[in-house]
Amino acid sequence: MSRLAAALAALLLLFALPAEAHRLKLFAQATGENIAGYGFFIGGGRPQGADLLVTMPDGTEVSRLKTGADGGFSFAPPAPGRYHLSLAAGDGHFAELDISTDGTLAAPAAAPPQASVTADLDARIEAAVARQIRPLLEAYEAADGRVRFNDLIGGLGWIVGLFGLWAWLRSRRDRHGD
Amino acid sequence: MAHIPDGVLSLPILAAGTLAGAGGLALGIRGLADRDIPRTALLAAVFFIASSLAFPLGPTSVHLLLGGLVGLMLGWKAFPAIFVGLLLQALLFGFGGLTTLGVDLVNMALPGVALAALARRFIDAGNPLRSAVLAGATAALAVIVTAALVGGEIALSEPAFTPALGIMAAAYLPLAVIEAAVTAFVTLYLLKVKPEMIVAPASLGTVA
Repeated sequence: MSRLAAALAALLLLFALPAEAHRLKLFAQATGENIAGYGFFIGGGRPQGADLLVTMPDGTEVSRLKTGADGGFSFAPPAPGRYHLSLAAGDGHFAELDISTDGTLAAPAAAPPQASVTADLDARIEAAVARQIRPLLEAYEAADGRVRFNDLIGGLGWIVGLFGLWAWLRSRRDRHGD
Repeated sequence: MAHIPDGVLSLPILAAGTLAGAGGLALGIRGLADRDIPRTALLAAVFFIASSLAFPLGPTSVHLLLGGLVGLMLGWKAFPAIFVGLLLQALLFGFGGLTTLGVDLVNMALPGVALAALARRFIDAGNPLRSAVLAGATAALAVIVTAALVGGEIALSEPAFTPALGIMAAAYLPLAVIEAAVTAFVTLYLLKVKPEMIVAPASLGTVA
């Protein structure tokens, strides 16, 4: 049994190196009037040619896109508001995301010159901030689905505990039978 | 791979999968004798670790399923072992949904259990090489059947999301090859070191 345990430990070490979960995730950001982003597998890789369905919060279909070679997509929603994105990678993986484009970004067409300068400034500040925080958001999304070593070991503890409990219950029942 | 999230499958599929999963679980637990408990727990741990960790492979990433290996070593007891692994993955990592536990359990456990029941009668310690090849073929087929089940269930539930056959093949065929190699290697090793882990007591394939 100890050789088996050693083999199991070796397997565990082998896999501990690329310790990533396997899950499809969706990253998207609203910049100006556009929603752009990409799908990615936490273990690595981007889904190419995956179906992206954009719906309103009430379920009405807005548009249907395909991701590009790098898993990316970009579209301009018809009106500012909340949108629900769902991505199907084609191999049984799905990811969902809710995103809202800020209504203040759509500058009114017939605005006085003074207001349009502020609107333009606002838009540029929005774009700069979005650009700056993008790496943070990406890192957060990538970290969110990671399998951490602690969680794995915790799961093993659960398995040991559950089966120990089962064995204990069995042993009690057997003693009743005597 | 085969962890289907909540909200994708239709109600009839969910109900059928949950019933079938519960049935397999009941069969497995009924056959779980005291001396099987450590082995079942060990394989639950192996399944949990192996199918939690993915490695990149081309445009996607894959993780082992080990349905064939677990089916060979446990028979129907693969259901409780894989159920525990799936439950922990859903709770700890958000792999797959809680409502789809039954469907995922059937997808991952049933192909291995059924194919291993067929293959086991030809596996013996006297001919380790043939046994290892057979075990590898069982594992590869189990992966493909699992992929077919996943694809079929999604296609039946949500025709708009029907998985593309080409993408499915690109993701699952390499996995089938890797699983075959891993399972054949483990079988070869176990037949030499601890043959009773593979060449099972007669009770394994049946409901004892």
